[in-house]
Amino acid sequence: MGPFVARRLLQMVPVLLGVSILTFALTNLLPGDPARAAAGRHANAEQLEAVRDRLGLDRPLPVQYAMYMGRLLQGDLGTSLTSKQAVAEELRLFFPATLELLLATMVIAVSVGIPLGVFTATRRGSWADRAFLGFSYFGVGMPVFFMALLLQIVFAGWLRVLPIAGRLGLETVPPPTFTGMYTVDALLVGQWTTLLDALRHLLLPALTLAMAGTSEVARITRRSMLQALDQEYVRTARAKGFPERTVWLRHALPNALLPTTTVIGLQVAFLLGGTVLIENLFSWGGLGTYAWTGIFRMDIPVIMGITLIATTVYLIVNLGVDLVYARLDPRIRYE
Amino acid sequence: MTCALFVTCLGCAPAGERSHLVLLTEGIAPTMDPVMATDSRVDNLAINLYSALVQYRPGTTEVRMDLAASYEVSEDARRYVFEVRENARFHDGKPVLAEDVKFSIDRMLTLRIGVWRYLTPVSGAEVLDTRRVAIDLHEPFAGFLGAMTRLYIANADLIRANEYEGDLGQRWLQNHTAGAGPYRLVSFQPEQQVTVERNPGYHLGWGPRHVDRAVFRVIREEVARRIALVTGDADWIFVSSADTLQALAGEPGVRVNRDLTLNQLYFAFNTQSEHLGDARVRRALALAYDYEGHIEHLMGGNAAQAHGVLPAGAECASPDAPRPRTDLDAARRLVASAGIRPGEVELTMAFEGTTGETPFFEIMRAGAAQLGIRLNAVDIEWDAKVENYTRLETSTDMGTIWIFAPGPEAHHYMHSLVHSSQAGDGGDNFAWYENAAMDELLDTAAAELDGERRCELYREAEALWLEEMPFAVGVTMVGLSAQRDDLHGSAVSLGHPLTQNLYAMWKE
Repeated sequence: MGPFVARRLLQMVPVLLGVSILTFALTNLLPGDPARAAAGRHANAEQLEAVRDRLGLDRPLPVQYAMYMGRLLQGDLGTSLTSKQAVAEELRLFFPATLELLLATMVIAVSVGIPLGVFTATRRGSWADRAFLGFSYFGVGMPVFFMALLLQIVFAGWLRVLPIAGRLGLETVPPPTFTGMYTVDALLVGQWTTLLDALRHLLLPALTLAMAGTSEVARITRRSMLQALDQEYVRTARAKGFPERTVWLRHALPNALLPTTTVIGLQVAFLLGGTVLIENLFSWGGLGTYAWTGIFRMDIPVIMGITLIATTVYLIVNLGVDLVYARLDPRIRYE
Repeated sequence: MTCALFVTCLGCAPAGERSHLVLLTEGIAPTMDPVMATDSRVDNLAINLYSALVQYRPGTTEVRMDLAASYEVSEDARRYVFEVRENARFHDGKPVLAEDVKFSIDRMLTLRIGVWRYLTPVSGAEVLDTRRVAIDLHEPFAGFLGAMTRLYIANADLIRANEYEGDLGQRWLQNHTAGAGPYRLVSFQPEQQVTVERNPGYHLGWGPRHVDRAVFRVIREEVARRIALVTGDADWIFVSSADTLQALAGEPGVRVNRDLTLNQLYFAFNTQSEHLGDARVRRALALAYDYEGHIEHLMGGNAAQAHGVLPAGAECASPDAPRPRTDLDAARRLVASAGIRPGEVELTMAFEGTTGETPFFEIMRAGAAQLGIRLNAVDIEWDAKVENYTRLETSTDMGTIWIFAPGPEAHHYMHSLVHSSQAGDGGDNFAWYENAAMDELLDTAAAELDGERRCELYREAEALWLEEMPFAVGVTMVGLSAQRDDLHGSAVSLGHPLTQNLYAMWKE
């Protein structure tokens, strides 16, 4: 397992290099002068020249890229053209909020989706199964922005039981920063009121994001379970007299979970994209919001930083999925 | 487990009074650096966190003393000497001195960003003694005091102590403040919220009716802002659509605001382009625009017509000046006289679709089509549009531009748009209009301190503008917002569009 993980980690390097080259080239193709963006709209020729010299913008593109990579290896992702802050520092500020939202979303999608898939597969053709199929089409097909507004109107507007936006209430004291995720940090120091408030704020955006993921996970689990339940080893288990529940959970489910695991991995990429919209709708203040403003302000170092971090997350999740495969199916061995 | 958590969260909605005033906006400032206060999001924070030497009385365009106790003007009107109030203190307790004023002026002149564009006639500052400072101008400038309301004075020592690689504090001021305003910063969460609290040592003092603590919170989605106001989670919200305002008008406990602003929409005609080089074609396109449709149907009546080329509240805007009008017959005659046959001309128009300008393009396109002119869309962000207009070769034939003036002076509209010095290099003269007679009129008017004579000069310039039509005059913005009816004092400040002056607000 160790050599496999090391090899996969090494394989990430060319992927990240490729993504960085592509992003660097594409952002430099965009209209606009980064020197003017950094120096300001009314900067004179002398100021523009000074900025070009300082940022190396007067050098050929490959040299600029090499300089960028040189700084990147030292952990320097550059400086935002608009906020003048280090991109790495800003990512450290925004990323935990997105990670918290992603984790909450995945917890909902997995903890609801898998049991629902198993439940409906074992009651194939029942009214519950048919109702689920209807719900899953609704969940997958409903645009997230519409779902977000619907939940906001119902829970924040009509019922008034959940906050409409933000990560914490105005009167709530934020917990000391360890991970940057309010729920985790509040839990670590035992700030229960803060924890509860953070959870209340997390619920609507996580539910919105989880809607499509839950449906997808449940559908795949149901389909895989149905296939597994038709297999000979399941018939054998039944013939041996195992209780039906044990047949489902011990024999059919572990095999059915393999495709589900793939879908969960793919969901992370989908969710990373979805956070841009959801974070803006719920004023979440995470990576999605940062990406949104970075793109609108043509802030190239920010766009580069976000692309690299999103790619890294995706690659790590993929590696995680491969490792889970081996755990679920003893036949899979990584040399 | 998830269900249990869901039910727990639903069951513990906190109740009770909020101690904060909550204002919901569409976006938060990308920086709190006061020199960037040309951006209304920055100005919205700066007007509460900083003080200027002079300031508009809230809700008016009357200039009053702020950090300055008094000022004197030299005979040639090229030197203003300000005396700083004795009791003025920055938030860290340091007295505001003449040196801080000089530092703020020098910083603006060195950086050449933000409010520098309002104060280009300023040549420098000189400290006369600890509390007296002289500000020198290249030439007399009638709009000087109005423009000075945007020059917020910053704590020189604090900024020097936090400089980074000679950036004059730009990096540090992104999320810190160095002001002497009525409110001081409690917390700044980028893209989320800014919390401020009362500055007990504020030099203008505190009466019985003020706000102790306030939060500017970003909620980009208008429906969500509307819900927050109706449920009482917010005290004031920014509204961008007439439909939302109409829906809120019937809600109990909610009051809607429609405030005429000094913000004016213009359509630039590139006077250097092949077809728009002919003033008859420019005038024809201006006559083809459906102004009534824009105001009544698109904006639901929440916009106003300009007076001549200026918004109604601007200095020298005459109610007798010709209003922009739609006259397709006259427009067709002009196009025919310019020798343009239907279907022969194709033009490009730049606009910002993301800020709701697509309908402006559609109205203009429909009008142009009536003249047999085809208009192609260039949907572009503001920064990219400015960048394109820095060079003639990348400029489109037409483009939208809003003027958010720092005061009612005609200079801010006319000089910015039609003075040849403002063409290219980040200036607002997107029409690339060059006319020596216009330049002379505008230069003379800017230096003229006699109000009546100044307006005469601007009216001459206005007549020339309407004849040459480098810009069609669009509509004047009406600021839309809504608030809880127990909130008072939230009058729109004409000189600080789209800002909320907390010092003037209270709840009762």
